[in-house]
Amino acid sequence: MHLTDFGELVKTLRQNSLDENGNCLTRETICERVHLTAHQLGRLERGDRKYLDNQTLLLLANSLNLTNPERIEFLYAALGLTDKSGSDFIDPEWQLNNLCSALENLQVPAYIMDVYGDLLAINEANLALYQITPDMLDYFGKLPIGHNLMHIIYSSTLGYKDFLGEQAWREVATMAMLFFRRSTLRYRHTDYFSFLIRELLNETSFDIDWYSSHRFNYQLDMTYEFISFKHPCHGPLSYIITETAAATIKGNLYLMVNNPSDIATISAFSEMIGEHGNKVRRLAPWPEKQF
Amino acid sequence: MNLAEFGLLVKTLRQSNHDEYGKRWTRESLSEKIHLTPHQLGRLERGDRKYLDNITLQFLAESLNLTALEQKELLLAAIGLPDKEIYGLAEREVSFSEITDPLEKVLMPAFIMDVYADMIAANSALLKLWMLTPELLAYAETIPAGFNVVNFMYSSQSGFKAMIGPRWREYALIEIYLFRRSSLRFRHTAYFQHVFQTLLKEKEFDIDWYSSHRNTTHYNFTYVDYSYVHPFYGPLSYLITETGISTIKDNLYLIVYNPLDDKTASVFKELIEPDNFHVRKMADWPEKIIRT
Repeated sequence: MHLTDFGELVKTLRQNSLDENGNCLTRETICERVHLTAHQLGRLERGDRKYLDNQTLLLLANSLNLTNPERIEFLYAALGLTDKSGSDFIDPEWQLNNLCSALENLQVPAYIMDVYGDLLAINEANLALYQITPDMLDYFGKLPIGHNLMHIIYSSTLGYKDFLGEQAWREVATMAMLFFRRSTLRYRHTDYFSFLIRELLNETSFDIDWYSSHRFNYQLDMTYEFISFKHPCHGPLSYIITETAAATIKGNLYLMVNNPSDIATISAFSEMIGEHGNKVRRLAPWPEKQF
Repeated sequence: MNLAEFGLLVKTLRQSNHDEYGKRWTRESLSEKIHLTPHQLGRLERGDRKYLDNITLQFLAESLNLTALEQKELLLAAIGLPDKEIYGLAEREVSFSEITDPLEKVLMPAFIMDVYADMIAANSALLKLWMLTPELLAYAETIPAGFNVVNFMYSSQSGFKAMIGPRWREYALIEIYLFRRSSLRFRHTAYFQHVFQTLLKEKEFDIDWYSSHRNTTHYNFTYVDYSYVHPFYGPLSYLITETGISTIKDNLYLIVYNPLDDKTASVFKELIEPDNFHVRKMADWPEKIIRT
């Protein structure tokens, strides 16, 4: 990330943080917290590296109410580090294809996301796990927001909440929010992110959770997630979702794998793969984003 | 990591590079590549932040023959902040049982390792798959780097070479790349040096370690696709995935083996044994103890 991009990112983050009264943080509030004058902060936001000492970075990270995983991303961004650094990464499309073939052979439900939480590919077993029909996929594909995980979780049309039950849904949504905030952090100033967040904020209860996640200091820093709920066809299931990040020159890809936590879930997963194998469906476009 | 430590890390990384005559890089050899004088590099290595601008950092990352993932780690180290500031976990102690919690819940062969590739806990399915008998584990406790995954891989005593068969070398090399990435920020520590010296005693490790530094095609993946004929369980094919876990003490990695065909799936199911499923604690963590 270039310094001008980083400056823009700081500005975006500042404009989207709320103070304890729920108002957007003004330049003045931030200035006070990071011990810079308004003029100096303005320069920082336009890409002047004079103000990027460790002390200021740390004060910035603290005053922007970042979660722990977000802090790490934020500091990465501050290094002027691009995804391209390390030129020996191979063709990103090859990498996605490679992950997709793993997805097809895995004996458990799994999917691939990009940094925006856009679903790039999902296997048959995962569709069966969440009872997502081809019609639903088509429906989501036609919406401007497309196949975004946050949208799917929060969409009232899909009714994920009823499907999982209030308690399990809440856990899934909290973890997804934590993931979304961390994975998008370095991309908050992009056009695609501002489009995405505008669309998501239209969804009832996403906006509530998005803002509340900024008010509360999350103590969660987990990258895996334990889920247990009663599936309408397969009965009680419990599994743990692990996240493997694959670095590409176009940003991270995340392979999310559902690992069974009990014997019943092992059998349920193999039933979901069924007779037709574990075919993979490609969904959102990547690496070029459309909106 | 504070600046003095970062300087020490740069020095360690410089000295682990060799010129075409097999001599360690001197300050002169590196300073040329990063457009500093040897004297300036010396100051940088002693923790002077005057030379830590982004351009110099970028030159450093590119000249030290690091893989793309190692470069990212180096730049993270250069932020010069203590880990607890980076991770913001200062207030929260994480208990060992909290860390091993996912291991108790994953019904697949799985383990947790630290940045030194020391296995700190593993579930019984993994121990069976790797044919780690109680005797072998008891022995591992008595030797240096006994629970180190790279050591398991290269050791003549662990039986890994025989277990994996003809493709062993290929997978061992991948393990080196994973080890290089996870250990990068810790190369200057006494514990890393201890593990490294232990590993160098294994016949093929030194060859592969050095060749991985000469090679220009790097393994930049965080997942590995394994496929070999296991002496007990027959042909196996699985994907090893890695989930990073941040803790107040540097990163941990949750490593899970996921079957890539139904044959492997049923072998793994056999390995689980619900009545006897347990997690075994292995290497010391977070305090590392040097055993000689």
